[in-house]
Amino acid sequence: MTMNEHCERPIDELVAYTDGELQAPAHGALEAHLDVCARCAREVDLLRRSGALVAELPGLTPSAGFVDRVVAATADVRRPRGRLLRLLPAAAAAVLIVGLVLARAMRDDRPSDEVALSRAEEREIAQDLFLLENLDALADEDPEALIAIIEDLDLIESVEPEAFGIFDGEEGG
Amino acid sequence: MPDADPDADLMLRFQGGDETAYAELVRRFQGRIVSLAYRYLGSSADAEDLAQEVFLRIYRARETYEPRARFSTWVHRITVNVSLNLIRGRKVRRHLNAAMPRSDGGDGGAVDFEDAGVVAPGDKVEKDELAQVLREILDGLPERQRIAILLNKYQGLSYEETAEAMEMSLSATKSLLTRARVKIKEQLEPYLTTGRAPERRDSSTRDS
Ligand SMILES: [Zn+2]
Repeated sequence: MTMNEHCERPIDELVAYTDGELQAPAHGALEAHLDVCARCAREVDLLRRSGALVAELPGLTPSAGFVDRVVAATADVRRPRGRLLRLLPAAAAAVLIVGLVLARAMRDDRPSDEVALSRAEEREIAQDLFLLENLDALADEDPEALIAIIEDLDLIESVEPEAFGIFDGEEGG
Repeated sequence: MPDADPDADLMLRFQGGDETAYAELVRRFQGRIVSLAYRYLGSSADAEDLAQEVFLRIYRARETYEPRARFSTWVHRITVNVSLNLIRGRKVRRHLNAAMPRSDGGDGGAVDFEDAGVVAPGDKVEKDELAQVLREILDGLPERQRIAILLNKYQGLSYEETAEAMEMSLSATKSLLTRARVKIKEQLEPYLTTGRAPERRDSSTRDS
């Protein structure tokens, strides 16, 4: 066997070989080559062993009751808001959202002694800001992204406004 | 007509109104998807949340599902989307938090999906040192390389199935996988060739 450090055999071929993804003529040719090229034989050995380590990584056992929790969570899936938004074309949704943000801003010209924002309003603003951040994702017609955004809105809805730090310390001004 | 796909049959039964078929699908895939999420996130803290999101999307797809690909490939495609969106959502949220400084400690409860990569207290310690090194290598890979290599090597998907799950061409998938494999091999090479456990900063605290 000769040691040819400068063998030009492409690495993706060696990787595909270790993965059992090299098809008929190439497969035989490479096997013959491995008999005479120590460099490639060594590479294949290292690729095989390092790949096997990834395959053998320990997994994680779902906690007891995982299936039940998922099934219980599906009750939320049927809520009307999510459904409506999912049926809207993404671009129309974006326009609608910009409209909502503007409408909310206009509504804000109220007497100055009412400057303090309610928690619900803080929450709405946090959601608006988040939507503005994601307008491009809304516009690229990707239903998965849209659903992800809706879920982030739900997340904002589920935590206290303080968690988002919106307008902290401005009340009572 | 593809080979028999009992998972797709369950999904079709669910489509026909059988909710127990949905629970059965969750039961069948929970281990695979939670483990994949765990490996993708590098921590167990959010793995079940990510997996739950995958299963909820399967639920939502009830009316639109068509058995075009193998069911497992389709589930993996959803997992890829949720995983990549999760990273994007994190970036947005970090941006939001940075733009609006919070006052004091009053953190109104846990925010999901915050800061993966931090090992949760309940995380089982990776006993095998080599596995620990490998985990760090995986964490260092770009998102798409990491998820592709996990689909192919950890979940046992073929190149073709990995490409389908990633919604990429076969050649782009091969190149992604090759780059990941070369990086993993290069970084593991010192340990593989010396045949001994890697020396780590904290190794002295382990044995004695
Ligand atoms: Zn060679």
